[in-house]
Amino acid sequence: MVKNSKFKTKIAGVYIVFAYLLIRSFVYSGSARAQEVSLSIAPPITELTIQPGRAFSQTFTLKNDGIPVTVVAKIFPFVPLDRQGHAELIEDAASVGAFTGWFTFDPTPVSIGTTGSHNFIVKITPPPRAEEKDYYFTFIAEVQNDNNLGVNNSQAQARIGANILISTSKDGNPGKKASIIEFSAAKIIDSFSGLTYKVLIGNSGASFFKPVGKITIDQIFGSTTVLNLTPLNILVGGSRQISCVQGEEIISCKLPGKFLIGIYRSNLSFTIDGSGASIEKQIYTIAFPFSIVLGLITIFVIYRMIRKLTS
Amino acid sequence: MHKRELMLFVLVFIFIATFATLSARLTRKANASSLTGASVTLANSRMSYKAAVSAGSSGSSVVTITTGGGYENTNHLFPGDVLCFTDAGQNGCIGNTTYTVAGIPAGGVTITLTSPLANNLDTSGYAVATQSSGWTLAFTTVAQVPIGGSLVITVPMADSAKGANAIPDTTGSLSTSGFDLSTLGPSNIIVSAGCTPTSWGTSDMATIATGSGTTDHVFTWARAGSICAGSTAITVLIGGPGMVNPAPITSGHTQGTADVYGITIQTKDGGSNVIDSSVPRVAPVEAVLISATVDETLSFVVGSPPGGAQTYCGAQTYIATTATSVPWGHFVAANTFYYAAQTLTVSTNAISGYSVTIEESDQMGKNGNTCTGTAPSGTDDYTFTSGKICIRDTVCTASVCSESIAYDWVTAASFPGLGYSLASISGTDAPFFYNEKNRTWSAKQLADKTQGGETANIIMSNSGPVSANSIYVCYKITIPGNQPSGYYYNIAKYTATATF
Repeated sequence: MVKNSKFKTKIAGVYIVFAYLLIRSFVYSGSARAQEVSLSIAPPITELTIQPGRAFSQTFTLKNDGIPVTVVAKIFPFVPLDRQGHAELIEDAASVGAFTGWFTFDPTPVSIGTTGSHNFIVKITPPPRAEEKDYYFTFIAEVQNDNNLGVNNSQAQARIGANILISTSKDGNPGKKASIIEFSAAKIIDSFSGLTYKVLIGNSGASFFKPVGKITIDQIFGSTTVLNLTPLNILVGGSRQISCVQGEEIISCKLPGKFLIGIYRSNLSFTIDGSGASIEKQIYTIAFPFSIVLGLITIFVIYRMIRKLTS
Repeated sequence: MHKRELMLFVLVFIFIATFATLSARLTRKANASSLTGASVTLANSRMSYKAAVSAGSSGSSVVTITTGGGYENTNHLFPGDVLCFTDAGQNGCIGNTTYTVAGIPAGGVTITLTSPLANNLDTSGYAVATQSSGWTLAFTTVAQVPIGGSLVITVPMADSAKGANAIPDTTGSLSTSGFDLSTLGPSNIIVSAGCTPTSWGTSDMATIATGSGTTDHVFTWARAGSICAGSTAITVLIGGPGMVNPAPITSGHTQGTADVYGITIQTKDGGSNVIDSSVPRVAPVEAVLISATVDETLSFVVGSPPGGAQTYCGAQTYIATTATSVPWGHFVAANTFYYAAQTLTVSTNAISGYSVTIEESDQMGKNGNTCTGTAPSGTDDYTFTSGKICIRDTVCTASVCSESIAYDWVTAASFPGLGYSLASISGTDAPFFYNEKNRTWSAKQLADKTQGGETANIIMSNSGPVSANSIYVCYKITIPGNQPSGYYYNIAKYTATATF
């Protein structure tokens, strides 16, 4: 009887272990991951100032955390799409062909298994006669799909890219010139509306740069607030809307505080890449509690009306 | 009195006297026992750092140490630690200046500083990074502490050292090493709980006897006002600047192994006889630097949510997709909407953010036909230049949506073709949504870059770092009843790049 009971216990134990493994294999398996194309690329941006004729090698590491994929490396020129730093790839053969001599990398398809990675080594060599100016490219890792599924379909092709910003300069000191295209805020605001700034900086020089600076806001009663500009790249011939940064967090350039009153003097100042002369502009804003005054007037009018009606 | 009686008297006297004497002594010894639950907790158990300086010149940001004399290498020093350089006599910091460690180059004997030295260093002096700690001592009395009795705590101090100069001490052995008292005063060493704390010492504060180099530090609280009963939990706090933890002993110490010190806690009666005692241990040990380098990276995931009776972008019954295809299969009915969805997820620590664009290789050509232009050239909805047959990109409504302008797309029979919309899963990185502007299914065309000369459209973007922000990309297709039979396909390209 006792032996029989022990045997049953053992059998139950085996069943429990088996059931656990079975459930685990189906429920906790990496099936979700297996259905994804998941790629990472590092570094996402390369900034380079180089003499024409010289060479520089950059390694782009592509990591695959999804299904096994076959990837092909390509490099396309790009132009700024907007003032937010987005790029528009120029993929026509003529534009791509114009820079074939600039880059040396292995264009053959590479298979990367799940959790695998591959280093693409790109040798960048602007030709000796390259004009001294900026050139912008995107290194693209493009997933190769199976062709001909045999049914009506739209294939989905994933591509991940890293931008390459190149300034060619013989003396290593390309001319950089910045201008404040817009530094604005409302001239008169309600005390509760907040004070938001728009900062638009242009690049009229020969090389991309980052503005390093701040907005200093002085209130007439003495308090001073500083908003730090995000050091974002501004490409040649373009402009960029600049946000502010607090620690590692990107924020809008907005004066914090719940109640603003008085005259606010806002001074935008920055330097190109953190050195050289400071470029500045000042604006003034008046903050007044219009909503409170309006509320008081409304209350007063209603009060007078009630008094009239009751008298 | 007879001789016999006299002897008896003497014997009785000796017996009583001996009994009285021994009982007094032995009874006390029998009562003395260990304080129960005695413990000492250090808020910071990291050992102080102390090394012998080898070289360091004014204006230089590099200091070299030597491990001679058993002092430490740089393994126990980390970026951000504050260093004081003393002379040989350990008379404070040279120039009254402290420095912050910038880095520890390989080799174990070099320290780089965040700012250059203001003075030449004494090559017989020391580099010290002081680690101080508040203490909490807790125990429970066994026997009562009478009025006039006392509580005594003894903390080991390094022999022949300056035991209260806030510079960590160390010697060649545990028995002779110990803690520095720093600038602790009576108000920093108090009984915080147990037997009415203000009845201990001077309103709970200790009397401090700083160690002399041959004696240890002793903190004493005289008991006044009332008896402290047995079985009472007592807590003593050492606050203020805290005790300075010793540096590792200079002989026989293994880095990563604690140096263990005993702290003696005693209760005494009015005659300074020990009532109860205990020696809880403290174990300062080297810290471990945990470091990692995070590369700037961009991650992009294309996923396929479950098909069937699901709701994405406000519509139900979806064709199952994969990460690489949207297999519409055989269209069972004309003038009927079919739906498919994929998920896109992006993570990046790039400060300027990222964007994902969508474009198509061409409109859906029959057997891979080239569909020149952006719209059919014929009067029907499927004949393009040179008579090529395609499934067109939808125009949504009479107002005509495009790759850049969205419109509501609700009538399958009147506006056939392929289009897409977006919905957020995590974050708000999509530039438009299926239900924007009170629409039922706000849609756009896929940008036909190759044959239509259109510009790839941004479908996700953020101006800062993001962690797993994701959206649904919902595709929708319908064909007219007279769409020629055949096999139609194209390629939708998602391109994720960091913002420059």
